[in-house]
Amino acid sequence: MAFIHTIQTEEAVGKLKEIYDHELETQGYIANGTMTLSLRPEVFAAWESLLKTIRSKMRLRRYELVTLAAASALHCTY
Amino acid sequence: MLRKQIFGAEQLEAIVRDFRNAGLDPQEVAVMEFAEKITLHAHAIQKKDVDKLRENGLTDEEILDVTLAVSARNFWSKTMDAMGTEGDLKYLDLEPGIRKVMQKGRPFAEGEICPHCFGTHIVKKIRTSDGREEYYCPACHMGGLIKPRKKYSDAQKLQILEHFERYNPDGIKSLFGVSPSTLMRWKKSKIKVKKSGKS
Repeated sequence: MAFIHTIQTEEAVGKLKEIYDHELETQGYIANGTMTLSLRPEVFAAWESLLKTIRSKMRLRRYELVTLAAASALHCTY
Repeated sequence: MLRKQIFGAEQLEAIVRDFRNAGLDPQEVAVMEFAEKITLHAHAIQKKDVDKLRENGLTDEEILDVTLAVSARNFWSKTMDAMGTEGDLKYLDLEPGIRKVMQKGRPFAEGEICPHCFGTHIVKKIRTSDGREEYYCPACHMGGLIKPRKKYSDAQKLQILEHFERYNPDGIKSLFGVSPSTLMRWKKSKIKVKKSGKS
């Protein structure tokens, strides 16, 4: 799954449990990326909030295009 | 998936392949070129690159938004790659063609995907001679080694051999995934190249 320890769904408590529950509710599964950050749920929450703020003024189409260009140049599958 | 809804499967595949020839409007191509440049060589970005975005009708607020979105993506991708995070299974819902062009780095979570048709239900079988795994894909009836031998260019070989003096073979294996025996073979062949060059 990842090179570092990740906290599984059933072990999550507190802030992490909130994050996991929210993902299960909204998308039906917990993304691998969320789990990668499970040791630092505060960082994940801050990241989500940052991304949401950046996206708030952008058209979805443009956001998706630049994300695609960046991910593609990075050879990143995720 | 979201992107598929915005662009349609065919155009999405074309964009991933080559966004300059995917029927996008000039402004979109300019924005993607800028995004690519930030990712590959942000240090080389000059005022003229930003001016080009202005010429394409972007306001400074929009230019900043694009830059922030790209940098955010870089932050995320670097973190995920460094921690070995695999792509989510939802990507497997994508058309095989898109997945093929999107899957540039790490494999998706299922790991073994048929390299011919990108089907996900391949059957594994063990090859007895050297124990390496072979697969068979019931979807396209193709088969082969699950992890084919990686081919290295001479330049890559030399680059890895440079580390030979500093690390032990096991260290090199963990760094580059090259086995000690392969390394020795290269080392020998490299010497041969040198000798033939001198004579």
